[in-house]
Amino acid sequence: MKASILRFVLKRIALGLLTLFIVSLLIFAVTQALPSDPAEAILGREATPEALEALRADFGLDKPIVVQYTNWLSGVLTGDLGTSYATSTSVSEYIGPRVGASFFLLLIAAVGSIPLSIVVGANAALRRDRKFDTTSSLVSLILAAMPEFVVGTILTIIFSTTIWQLLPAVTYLEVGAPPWSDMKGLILPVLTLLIAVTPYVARVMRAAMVEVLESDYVEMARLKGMDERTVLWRHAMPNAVGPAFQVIALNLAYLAGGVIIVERLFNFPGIGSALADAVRSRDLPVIQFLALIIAAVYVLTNLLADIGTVLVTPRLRTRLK
Amino acid sequence: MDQQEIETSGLSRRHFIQGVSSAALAAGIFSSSALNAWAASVPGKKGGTLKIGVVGGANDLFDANYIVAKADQARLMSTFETLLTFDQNFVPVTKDGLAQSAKQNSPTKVTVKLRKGVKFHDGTPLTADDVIATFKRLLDPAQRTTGKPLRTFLDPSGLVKRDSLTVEFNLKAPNVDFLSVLASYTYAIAKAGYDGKTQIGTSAFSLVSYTPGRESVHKRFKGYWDAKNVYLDEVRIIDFADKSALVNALIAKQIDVAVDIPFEQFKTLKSKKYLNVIENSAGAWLAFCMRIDIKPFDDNNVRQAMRLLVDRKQMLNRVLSGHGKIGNDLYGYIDANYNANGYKQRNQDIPAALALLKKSGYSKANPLRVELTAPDDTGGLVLMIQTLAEQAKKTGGVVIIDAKVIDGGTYWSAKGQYMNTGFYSTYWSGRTYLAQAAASMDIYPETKFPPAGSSFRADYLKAAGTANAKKRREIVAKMQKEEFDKGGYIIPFFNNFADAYSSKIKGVVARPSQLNMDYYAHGFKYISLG
Repeated sequence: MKASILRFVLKRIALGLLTLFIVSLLIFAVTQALPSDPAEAILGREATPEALEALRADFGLDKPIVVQYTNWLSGVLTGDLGTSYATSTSVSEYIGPRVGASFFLLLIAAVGSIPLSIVVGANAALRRDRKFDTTSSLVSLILAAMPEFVVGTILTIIFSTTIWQLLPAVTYLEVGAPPWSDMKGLILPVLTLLIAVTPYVARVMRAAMVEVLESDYVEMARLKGMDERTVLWRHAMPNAVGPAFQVIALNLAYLAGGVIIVERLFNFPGIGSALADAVRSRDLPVIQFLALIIAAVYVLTNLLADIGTVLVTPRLRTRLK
Repeated sequence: MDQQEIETSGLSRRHFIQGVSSAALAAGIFSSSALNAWAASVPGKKGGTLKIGVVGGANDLFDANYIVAKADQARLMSTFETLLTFDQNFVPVTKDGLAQSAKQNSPTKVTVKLRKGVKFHDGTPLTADDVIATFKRLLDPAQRTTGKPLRTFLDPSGLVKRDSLTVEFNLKAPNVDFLSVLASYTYAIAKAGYDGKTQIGTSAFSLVSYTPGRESVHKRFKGYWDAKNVYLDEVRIIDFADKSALVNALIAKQIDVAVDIPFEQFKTLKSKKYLNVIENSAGAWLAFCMRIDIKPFDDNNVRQAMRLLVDRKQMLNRVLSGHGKIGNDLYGYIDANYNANGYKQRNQDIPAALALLKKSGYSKANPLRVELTAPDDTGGLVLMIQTLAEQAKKTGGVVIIDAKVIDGGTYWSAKGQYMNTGFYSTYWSGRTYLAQAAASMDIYPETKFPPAGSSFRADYLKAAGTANAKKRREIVAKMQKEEFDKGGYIIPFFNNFADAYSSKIKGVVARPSQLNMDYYAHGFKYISLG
């Protein structure tokens, strides 16, 4: 069994790398299609032709596109991410701390949301059509319908600006300080992300659990006289968590990109604001790298979800044998 | 804004501002109300860190001679100083400037004597060489600076060092207002050899660190020449990606100043006891540009009709919540010669507009359909084009405006909508009339005005070389007539700008200035935390 799982994982990793390569090609093509080049975007309307020429030469934009791409690719493969056009600092120096900060934010949100949504979803399924189920369904439906910026804005109004002034309205990290140096400032962004992700997963978890609880094998287990706790944890949960894993993975991957809005709302110094800036200034090395990171998160979370699903779902686990 | 000029030996008084002690200046130029304003603003405590929030990002620039956004202005003001500065009547003065005296000897010659004992943040003294190097950089077209308008009047060869503290500007074309040029905040003096990367200025605060898109930290410079007016120990300029986050951070007391607050929030912020709000009008303007060489705007009937379509008051209320002054398609609001002909306010007049359009053959059956664009990165412009598109509906389908919002990176690019299409929007900060005429003719020929055969350009050069204020006003009046009757700008209003700040900050004075937060407190001097 181990060898077959290993083969499965390796195959998925190879596919993931191929995906990343295609993404990098696509992003490069798309940035080429943008109507203005980085030199113009950076110099703005004060640009003189001379200054534009100088800047283009600086960036290597005067070289053929193929050369630009291969230069970039060989740089990435050797660990040199290039220089950010807008900030004139190396991409790793500029983006590195931001990647760390965003991952930290996502990690807390994930660690909080996964158990929360599983517990809420499972409980709703167990108490199907009773008070807990109807209330949690309604609340999660309302929360799922609200875009993050609305949730974040409401939280800010409640907890930091208008009703109470209990929590910081923005995250203020001193340059060089780790993201956990302003835990108080993280509360609202994390809460916003939790609210953005939890309802979906809880609903999927509930649906899966309902299906599983109605299945023959659960009925069989009950008929065998197992106590309800064993039925739930040994037989129902593993089969229900599988589908939930997929949704959690998709949600986390979505967060890697969707965190842009939350970061903007709370002035969080992460990859989200950096990506928005980079698109505006056509800062290709930064766009490329961030797109790769976000794509990598997608690939990785999906890979982990697939492996997780295989491992927890008895049916699939046996099929791999 | 009373700005009468007093004639003295052919040159106006405003150009004789040498040997300035503030008392002499006050007696001569400052109005008594301004004096009161100064007296009322007594900063107190020394020390503390001022946290100032401003919308910015990784695209911020840090340069003594180039800015795009407010964040760039704030950083420039905290690090660099100019030879002269403007007082609240927009008269160039030596207060807070690096010049001990500045004299316009003739329309083609200006002599500047530097203050003694001014040091750069690295401890080296300021000399004439630094001033010459700065202006050579400004004149160099390969450098990224705002020096383009200078090149009409000055060549590098015209910069002459008289002694270690005296510089002579020998102009190639007459400009009797050259002292105003020296007070432009982007013509700040950097150390000779400045490459735009290492930020060493002469200001009260030296740069400790700068992280693009995050913040810059500036600490008090011990060798500052005007140390007695410096109260703060440290200034932090913090970037915000979003205006609401900026305002929220101020309300939650995480920062001390929010630069350039949205007017929708003006009242809310003003009502908070622990906050103050400062509003400033300095002739900045937002406008629609009609290219006079592109159909259908090559037809003056169409241009004049479009100007008559605009309900300016409604637009001002909608776009700026009323925080501004209604415009009359003329710029140069801070100039004593603004609207020199005394034109009546142009108002919405649909019948008159329709009559003009009819002359050019437009009707319901043959409507005038045009696209109007705005960038998504400049406050107000989007709302402005949408409002105009709506107001055009009053023509009953004769004028149809398609308002389109374009990504800023595309809009401002070389092939973008800005300057390349017939009908688009723009923004400007406040300038005197002639400075603006030059900028709109040669640097950003947004409307391609003046048309061939016009005397506008010749009039401009004549006015720039005319020292006699009355004669100059006559020439300016002629230029304004041509623009009022045939120009390509629709200027619906002049926009104010406003900042909010913690009421523990002392020393901020509400007076007209070109920059936010009381001209960023003239380099973060004069203000204190408590």
